[in-house]
Amino acid sequence: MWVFPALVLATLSSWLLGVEGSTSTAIGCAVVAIALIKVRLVGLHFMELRNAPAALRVAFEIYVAVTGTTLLTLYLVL
Amino acid sequence: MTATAAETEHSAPPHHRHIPGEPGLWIFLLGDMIMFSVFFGFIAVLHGRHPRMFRASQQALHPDLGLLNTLLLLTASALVARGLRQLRSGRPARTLPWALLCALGFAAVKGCEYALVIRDGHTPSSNDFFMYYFVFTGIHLAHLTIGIGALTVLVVLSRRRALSPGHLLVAEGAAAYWHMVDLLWLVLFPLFYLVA
Amino acid sequence: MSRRILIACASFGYLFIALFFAALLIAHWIPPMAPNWSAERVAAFYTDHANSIRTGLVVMLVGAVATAPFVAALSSLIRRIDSRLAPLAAIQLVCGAANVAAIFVPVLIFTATAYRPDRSPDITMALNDLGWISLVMNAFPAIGQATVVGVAILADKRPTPLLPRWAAYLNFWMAFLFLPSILLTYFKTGPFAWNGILSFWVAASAFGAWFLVMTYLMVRAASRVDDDRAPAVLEPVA
Repeated sequence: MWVFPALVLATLSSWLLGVEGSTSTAIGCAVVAIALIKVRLVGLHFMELRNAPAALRVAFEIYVAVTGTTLLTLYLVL
Repeated sequence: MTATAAETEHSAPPHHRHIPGEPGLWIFLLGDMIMFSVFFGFIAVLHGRHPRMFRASQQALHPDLGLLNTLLLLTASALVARGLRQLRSGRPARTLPWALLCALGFAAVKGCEYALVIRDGHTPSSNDFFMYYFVFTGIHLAHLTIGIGALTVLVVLSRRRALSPGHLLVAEGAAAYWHMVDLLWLVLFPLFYLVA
Repeated sequence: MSRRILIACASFGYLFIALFFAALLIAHWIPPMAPNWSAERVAAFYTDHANSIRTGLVVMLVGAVATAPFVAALSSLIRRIDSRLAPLAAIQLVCGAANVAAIFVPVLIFTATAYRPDRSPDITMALNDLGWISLVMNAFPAIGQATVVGVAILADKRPTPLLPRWAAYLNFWMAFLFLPSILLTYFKTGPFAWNGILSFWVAASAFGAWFLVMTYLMVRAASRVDDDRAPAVLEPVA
């Protein structure tokens, strides 16, 4: 049952990073990356996709990867 | 709690593949998630194009309330995941009403935050930041309201003595829907409140 | 016989999509005009493309009628899932009929707009607003229709349902995708304006995809229904 504490820790750490009001791109990207890691944890463990058939699990992994890279690219490029 | 975790780790050997809920439900869940990814993209583009306006408007939000809401949703999700495991193994799932309470708490906190932001004179027509903020969190809140219905179904099912395979399928689907509500907020929250 | 009628009616969905999107292209409405265009620019657009717009609208008018057999076939299939679902079939029919109107009304407004493009630009702009708003913000009958179709599919408890259960969830998702267009009333630019990504592009793609998938599934389902009881022979009137 490490998933819930990990999610709370990740939330608190991204809160500490972000709420300082830092405008650095690195911190912004770190906060986005933490969010996507949390999404993946919720999907694999709470939604039980780690035990799902390969097609469904792969669809979810692609979703996380595409959303994550798109958001990070937008924050880095724009 | 540790014993339960160990038990479930072992009760799901890797060769046993199982789709939670009805397979078709995942078309809706993944489809909805893709739609929200488009929303996330709009927020990122707005942030990139008007960083100063974004940052200034962001100051009017209440990150502490956002954090509280994130914790409420995470707690609800953990309780739902645990409750579902208990339903499967035929034990009483007493955590589920607490999950429902967390969901209602989220809606109440969100309502308070909307009221505070509007009282400070910010409305969807103030600028693009507030337009996105109200519309996207509003659409999320609509999903959460449906999620409250899903959790109510779970609570009602947990009161039954024994669950048929059909009931279990409904319970899994309701739980998966709820986790999606949580998952979407996990991205909305940092994009609006934290990334400056 | 009824099986062939059902298949024929359902197939009109393909015809509708072909005519509807052809009409949008003929009328130069893809990409759509922007809500923040000046009155002069709107008037110039109607002057430059007057005849293509008029022709596109005639095509769309024909297309709108093609949805009628499709909607009738869908209600008929819903009743075949379970005769107790007749109220759902009726709701679908009402929403489907409203959809015909939802296409007819903007087509007639646009036709009036393109009728005298040399009039005062302000009037052309007002009519053009009326046309676009009624063409894009008319999603609610379609939302009701997709929702009720989804519910009817889920109500099919047989081992091999007439329409596959995933189609129900697809219908619910489509209902959700049509939803943002109601926000166009507040915006002249951005994703929710009538030419925006969410109000127009996503909603129009979802609308097209919904018709294509449903038509395909309905034709397949119709070929599986029992072919019919012949109409009862009536006693001659004494």
